[in-house]
Order: sequence, then structure tokens, then C-alpha cells
Amino acid sequence: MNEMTIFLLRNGIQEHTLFILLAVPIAATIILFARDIIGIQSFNLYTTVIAVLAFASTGLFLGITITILILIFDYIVRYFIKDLKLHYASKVAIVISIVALSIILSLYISHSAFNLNTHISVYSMLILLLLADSLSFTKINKGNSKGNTVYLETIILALVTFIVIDNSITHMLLLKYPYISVLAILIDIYIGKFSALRLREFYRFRNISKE
Amino acid sequence: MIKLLDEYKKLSATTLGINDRNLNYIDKNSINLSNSKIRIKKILNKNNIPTPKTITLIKNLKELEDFDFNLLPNSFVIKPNKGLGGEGIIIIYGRKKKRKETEEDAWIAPNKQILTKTDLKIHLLNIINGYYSINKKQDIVIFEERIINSQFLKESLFIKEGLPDIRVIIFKNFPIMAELRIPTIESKGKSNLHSGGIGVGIDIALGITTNAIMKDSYIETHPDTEERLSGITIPQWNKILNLSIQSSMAIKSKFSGIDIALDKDKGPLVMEINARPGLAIQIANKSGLKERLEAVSKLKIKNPESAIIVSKEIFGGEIEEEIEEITGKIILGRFTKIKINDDSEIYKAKIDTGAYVTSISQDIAEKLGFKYLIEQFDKFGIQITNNIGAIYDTRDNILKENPGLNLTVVKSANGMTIRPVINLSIHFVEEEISVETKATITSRSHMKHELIIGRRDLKNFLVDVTRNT
Repeated sequence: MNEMTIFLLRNGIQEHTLFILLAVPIAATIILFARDIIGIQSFNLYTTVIAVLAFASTGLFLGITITILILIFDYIVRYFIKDLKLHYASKVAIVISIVALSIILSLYISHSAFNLNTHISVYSMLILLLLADSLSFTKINKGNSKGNTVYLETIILALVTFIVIDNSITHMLLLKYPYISVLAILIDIYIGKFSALRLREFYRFRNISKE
Repeated sequence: MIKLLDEYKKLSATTLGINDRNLNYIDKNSINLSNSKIRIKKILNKNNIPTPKTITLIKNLKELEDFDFNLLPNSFVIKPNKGLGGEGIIIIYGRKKKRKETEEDAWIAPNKQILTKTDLKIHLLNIINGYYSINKKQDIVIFEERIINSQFLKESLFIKEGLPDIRVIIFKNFPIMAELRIPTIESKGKSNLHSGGIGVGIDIALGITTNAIMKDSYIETHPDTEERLSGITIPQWNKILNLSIQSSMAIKSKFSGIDIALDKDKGPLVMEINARPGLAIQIANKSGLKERLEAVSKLKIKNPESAIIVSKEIFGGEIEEEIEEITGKIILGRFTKIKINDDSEIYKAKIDTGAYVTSISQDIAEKLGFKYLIEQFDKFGIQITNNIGAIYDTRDNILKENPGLNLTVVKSANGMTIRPVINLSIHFVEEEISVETKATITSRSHMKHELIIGRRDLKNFLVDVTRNT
């Protein structure tokens, strides 16, 4: 292991904390690549990065459950309060509240019915709730279908990034060679200078020249 | 794989993508300005460039609280000052008549949607709170007069609702590319492409529309009116180009998209200026922006008139060359009477400069005695596809087995398919001219016109699209 890593671990810094901090640059680079070179549409970079970190804490099952709950309850709340004529902020407040309460229910079910012992940091679940705000914001601004698409692409991108990062190989590599994270910043610079078509645009504009 | 990489490199060299636009073409000056519609309008008006009139503004929550809705005219448009891409814009066509005195005030929006005073207030509150604002900060509501569509647009597009406009991309004060943007029911009266509006490419040299797209796919007719979208001549084309250049000069912008609407009485008005114009305009024009931007990057102009001449020279398309070939003695309107082969019946044919080949409906083909051909053709059971290779392979295979047949691949909004081709002799009754031609038999879908005469058979005519017959 790297000397600095050992020093920090000896002085009481948790391995998981260290890993998460080293993983942030990697996650950011993967998401940047997906957005600017592939052309995935996602909420802003920060929201997507913290969604990855939230997944790293909740695990796949609960992470996916919460994100689906948000999508469903956002739809239901929208449907039922349409005639109440509330403005944006109160809609988001209601969605967030209902999803939070429904997480309790799903925890109850997973404990009592499946006897699953889930120890999850509460903050990671709250981070996922932030996605409800981004979802509502995109829906009011760009319409419902666009909001749903961007939301789903964000979740899928965050999941893929999570899978790339949260495995024993990456874990071992990052703690052993923390400089990999610095390298990620160099890649960020390269992507920042990339001015050719995104892959999605290549597909979109392909028919222009044919004729 | 290498072939694909080659194609990617080629396309990247000619087409403008989001990365390239944001990195190399967006200029700070127009970004700062185009984030405030009020400031842009002030500058344009100072330079005597006509814009829609502002009725009133609501600057904060206090003003909203005190706002008297009775002061508004019957029809108007609500816009957020710092809005992006048409978001937050609501068009109001009129006041709803009250059945009872106690009923809440209400207005009529696109698609006959009724908006009560409460609805409007919530929307205005959302605008002021910055939910449509580009930087998510507090914003100002603009009430603007509603533009009444010019007679031309009503007649050539049969638009009942919504306001079509013309977007001209200006770079270094040269008009680079243009498109006609037409609202649909789906876009709720807005002409923005990502709201579901239609974009139609415009030949810079002639001001005639070329290809139409909706949600990035090519279409031939307006989905709501079924009216053809290509071959429309935009009136006052030079004035539109001139206004675009003047606007760009006034705000000292390097790269921007200028939106111009045609008002019934006032003519062309500058509606909006966008520092980040959408890129789908390239699909509608079947041409990349990047190569056009580079073509003028080293040029400088003295005045709008010479910029227009240069742009028309460089970017004018194929249609122009065809028109130059025409000696032009006989003028056709949008419809004409024709006879086909030896049949004595007179048909009404649509003259369509947007279509290349002539086409006739299955019903007429059956009347002319091609029933056997259609039946033979139907047996092949050809599907619509987007795969170019597959469709040509299918055609070649059928031709190998049936050497007598004549088939062609046609493109439509849904994709590509194969249609039979027949030899026809068309006689223009009033013009007393006969043309020998090949025509495709169209499928039994909901084609609005049973007979369409395409460009290939119009070489001896000039077409005046403002004339009906």
C-alpha cells in the first residue's frame, strides 16, 4: 500500500472514507466522458456524482428501489394534486415527504418479510431524495417525458459508474495507487478540449451527408 | 470499423456538435445579452429594428400581488425575461366569456386550454421565482403583444394556431443557415423544435423551403394540416436576412440565431436572439454548419447587403441551379388540370417543387388499368424500414426474379420503402403541353393529394406558389 494511505489509516481515518474520496475524481471523469463524448443526458455533474456515492452506500437493491419509488410517487403526486394548483416548491416537498415515508415502509417489509438486516447510512438515502428535486425541476422546465428520460439516463449512468468503481479490483487499485485519481484530472482536461461530435450526435446527424 | 471511424471524422469536420458550439462559437457578449430579453429589445429598438411591443412587466412578488389583470388586452404572450428555448412562454388567444358573474376570470391558451386567473398567477409566480430562468435566480415577467400571422403563412400552411417564425443563424454578420419553424398541436403553439415543433430548411439563395423535420425525423406534410412543407416561398426574404444581420450587428454578436416572425400588418419582427441556437437546423437543411462557418471565417463585410450577396453565392442550393435552367415561359400555380395516357378524364394535380418525381395514387393507377401490377406488387409484402442496405437488397432480389418490373426506393416520414414505377404520358390541359414521364404509385395511406407532379417533370415551367391554379 501507498505510504500516505498507510499513514492515514493508522491515524484513524476509515478505509471506506478514504476510498470514497479517491473515487470521486474517477466517478466525475466517467460521468464527464459519458456526457461530453458519448452524449448521455443527465442532471448536472454534481447531482450524478453524489448519486453514485449514495449507491455505494445503499447498495444496488435499496438504491434502485428508492430511485424507482421516486419516479412512481412523482407521477402519482403529480396526478392527484393536478387540480389543487400548487406551485413548484410545494409539489417537490410533497414528493420528497411521501418517498421518505415509503422508504420506512420498504425497510419494514424487507425486515419483517425477508428478514433482511439493512444497515444503511441515512444520508445516502437523503441524497437520493435530492434526485426528486432535479426530476421535478426538469419536468417543469422541459416537459414530463424529457424529465423522465433525463432522470432514467442519470440513474443508469450512476449505476454503471457505481459498478465500475465499487468492486474489489478498483478498491484495491485506488488504495494502492492513489495517484490514479490525479490522472483522472488530466483526462478531464482532455475531455474539456474535445470538440468533435458526441457519439449520440454522430448517430443523430448521420443522415445529413447521405443523399 | 475503420469505415465507421472515417465517417465519424468526416461528419465531425462538416457538422457542428454541442461540444464544438459551446467551446468555440458561443461568444460571451451575446450570452450576456440573450439572457435578458428586455435588454436585447432595448438595444434593437435603439437601432430601429422592429420587435413586438411590450405591454407591461412584473418585476417582483409585490408587483404580482398588486397586478390588475383587467388592464391586459384580450390576447397577449407571457414570457420569462431570462427563459431559455421557449420554456415558460404562454400564448393567450383571448378572454373566456363568463357564464356567471361569480365565475373566475379565465383565458384561452393553445389547444383550447382554459387557464383561470389562479393558473396564470401560479405560472407568473413560478417565473418570478426563477424556475424558467437560465441561472435559476429571480426573474421578470414580460407581457408582450401577440403577433397576428401574416396572410401568407395562413394561406400556405393553413396554420390556425401558433406563430411560425424564421430562424437565421448569423456568424460574423453573414447569414449561414436558415429554417422555418412551425408550431404543432404537440408543441402547444410554440415553434421550438424540442417542444415538438417542425423545422423546415430554407435555401438561403431563394428563400424557398426544402426538407422538413419533426423530432429529428424527416416528414413531408404537417401532421395537423397535412399540408406539404417543402417548396414554400418565404415572402420578404431579403428583408428577413437584412434584419437578421442588422440585429447581430446591433448586439455585436459573433454567433447567434435570430428569430423573426411575420406580422400581418407590421411585416418581419425580431422576436428573440439566441446565443446557443439548436443544432437540428443542420438536419432540416441536410447540410453541416461547421463547414459553412469555416467558409466565411476569414471573410469580412462592409454592409448587410454585401453579406447577403456573398452568403447567397456560397450557400445557395440545388434549387437555384434548376431554376436557371428553366427558360420560363409557362407559369403554373399550385394546382393544374391534367389528362393521363388515353384516359379522357381530367384530374386535378398538385404541383410540388419539393418532390423530385411525379406520383399517382393506387386508385388512379387502377382506373388507368394497372390493377394487375398493384396486385402483383402487393404480393411481395414489402415493409417500411430505415435500413438503406436492406431495402436496396430487397429491390434487387425482386428485380432478379421479376425482370419486367420497374421499382424504385422512396423515402417518407416513416422510413424507406419500395414502390412500383409506371410509364405515363401526362397532358397539361390548359397549358397544352405533353410530358412523357415515369411515375411512382403511392401506397393507400392518407395522402392528401392523389396526383403530385414533381420537379423532374416541371423543367419547362415556372411555378408560382402564390397562385392556386
